[in-house]
Amino acid sequence: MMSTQPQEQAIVFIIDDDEGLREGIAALFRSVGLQAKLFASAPEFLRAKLPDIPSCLVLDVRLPGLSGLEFQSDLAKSNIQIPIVFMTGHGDIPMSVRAMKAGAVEFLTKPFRDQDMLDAVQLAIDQDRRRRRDESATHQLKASFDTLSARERQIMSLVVSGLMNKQIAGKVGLTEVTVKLHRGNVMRKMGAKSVAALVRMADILGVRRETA
Amino acid sequence: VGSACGRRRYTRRVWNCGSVRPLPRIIAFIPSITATISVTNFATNGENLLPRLFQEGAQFAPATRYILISISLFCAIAIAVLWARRRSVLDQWLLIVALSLFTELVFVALSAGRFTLGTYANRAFSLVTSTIVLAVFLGETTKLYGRLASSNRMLRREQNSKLMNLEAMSASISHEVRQPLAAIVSNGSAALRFLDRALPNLQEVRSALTRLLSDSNRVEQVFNSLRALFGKSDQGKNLINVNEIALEALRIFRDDLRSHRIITRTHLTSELLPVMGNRGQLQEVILNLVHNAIQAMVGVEADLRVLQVKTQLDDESIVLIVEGSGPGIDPTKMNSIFDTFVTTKRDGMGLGLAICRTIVERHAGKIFVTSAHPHGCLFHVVLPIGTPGLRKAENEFERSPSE
Repeated sequence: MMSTQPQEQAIVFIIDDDEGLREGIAALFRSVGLQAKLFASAPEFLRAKLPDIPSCLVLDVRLPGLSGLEFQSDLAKSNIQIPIVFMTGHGDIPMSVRAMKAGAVEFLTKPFRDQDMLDAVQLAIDQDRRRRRDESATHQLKASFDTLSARERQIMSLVVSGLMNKQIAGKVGLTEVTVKLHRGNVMRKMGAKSVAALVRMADILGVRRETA
Repeated sequence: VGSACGRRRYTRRVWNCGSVRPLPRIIAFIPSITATISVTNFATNGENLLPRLFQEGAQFAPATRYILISISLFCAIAIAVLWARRRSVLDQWLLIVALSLFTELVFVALSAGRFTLGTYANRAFSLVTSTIVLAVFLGETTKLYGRLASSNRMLRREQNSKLMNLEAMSASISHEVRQPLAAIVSNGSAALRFLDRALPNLQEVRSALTRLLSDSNRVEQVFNSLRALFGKSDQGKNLINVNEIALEALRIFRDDLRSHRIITRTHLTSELLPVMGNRGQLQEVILNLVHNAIQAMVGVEADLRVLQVKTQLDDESIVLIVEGSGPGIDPTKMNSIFDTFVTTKRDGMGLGLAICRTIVERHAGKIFVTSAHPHGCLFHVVLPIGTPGLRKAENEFERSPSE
């Protein structure tokens, strides 16, 4: 029963114009300890203040106003990366293909099996959690990088280019001892345990490498 | 170089031809030359032996008069008949052709003889008229073909829209039902999960079950509103000729019947009385039966595909029979075939015949199926003649002149 044991707080957003169905799905999520927040339309969802925790969207294909598929592309355009589980009252295959191609986690035909819905939502939340973890790591790296001085950044880009301390010293016109000092600072501030780790961080941050 | 080669080959061929059979050619000339000489000799020396027609260029042959009279008579009859019926554009044009022929004959009769100015004028006249008639005729035919093609297209569209209406309706019904059904499934399984907990949350179970009940009511509402929808279209009842709507159904499916190479036979009784009913709905019944028959005959050998539509008067009712030579219906399914969602088709919804039965019963009639020999089946639609109210009105109408 791994899927029914949430590791940490998560929330499911449900958008469907049918109140009875919204309530029913919300009860299903509550019964496995998942928090759910309900919306009758896409604009209502966009207006709401959303908690910053792992989440996913359960979306009806047919919505009043714009369709679920249009909403999916709108979200992608405004760079809102939330995993989507689609529901439909018609088993429309071309539509499901489009939705899956656009990155939907699952496409469920009403009436769906309860376990299918729970599995899909669990998968979507796990996906969002992973994305958030990656994003926060990047965020931390950026913060660390911001603490570096201009000289240290220069030394870092030379180090990740694979130059020896002696070569760096020659290039920037410092003594080898000073370079070593700066290099130690970079490693400490970035929290890198090895040059390999520092290279990986530089890749994520997009630090330009100096060519020898 | 190429052309030189070609020339060389050409010369060789000519040389070969000449060398292979020189003798038969010369022999073949001899009889034809002999014949020419003898005919010329006969024409110049034996002039007196020639028929009179050859000797006097300006005279008609004696039989010409009778031929002229009989053709003119035939023309006159044709003109009279065509004038009397004048049903189509084709008739009108045939009339013009006959008239021009008649005029030409009159000219011939009036002219002094052959090879006179009158004869040539007549020839010229007939050439001009026939050219004009032919051109106009061609134009007319093209126009008619165009009209035929466009009406064919319209028929096809009409047929598609009828079938699509049914599909759209079943799709929207299924959507309307799926919605509350999904809610019922969610609430039901939520209730079970709340109950299965170590400490059951009865509050949640209660509210889930309450919602489940209200969702079940929604399903019922869907069907109630459907019934209301049917009820609305039920009102427009008129006197309807069953033969007419049967023929119209066949007309709508004409292209389908042709493309499936189905032979269509109709036995429509002429003494058919009208029935009181909704034209669109009764039409739907026949369309459904014909459509089913066409689909059933797809797997049958092309020579054996026969669709028969019959109407007959039977006591107080009118019977319409649609017979297809398809594989027939499994005897165990014979009784349930009109039930909703019972289908023998691979991708059928099982709605068509159920709708047919609803409509026929609404018209106080009945619908049933029997097996045909050696294969296939007959769908019988029995409809009462008129309605009691209508018959009373008729009686009153009959009585009023005597009063």
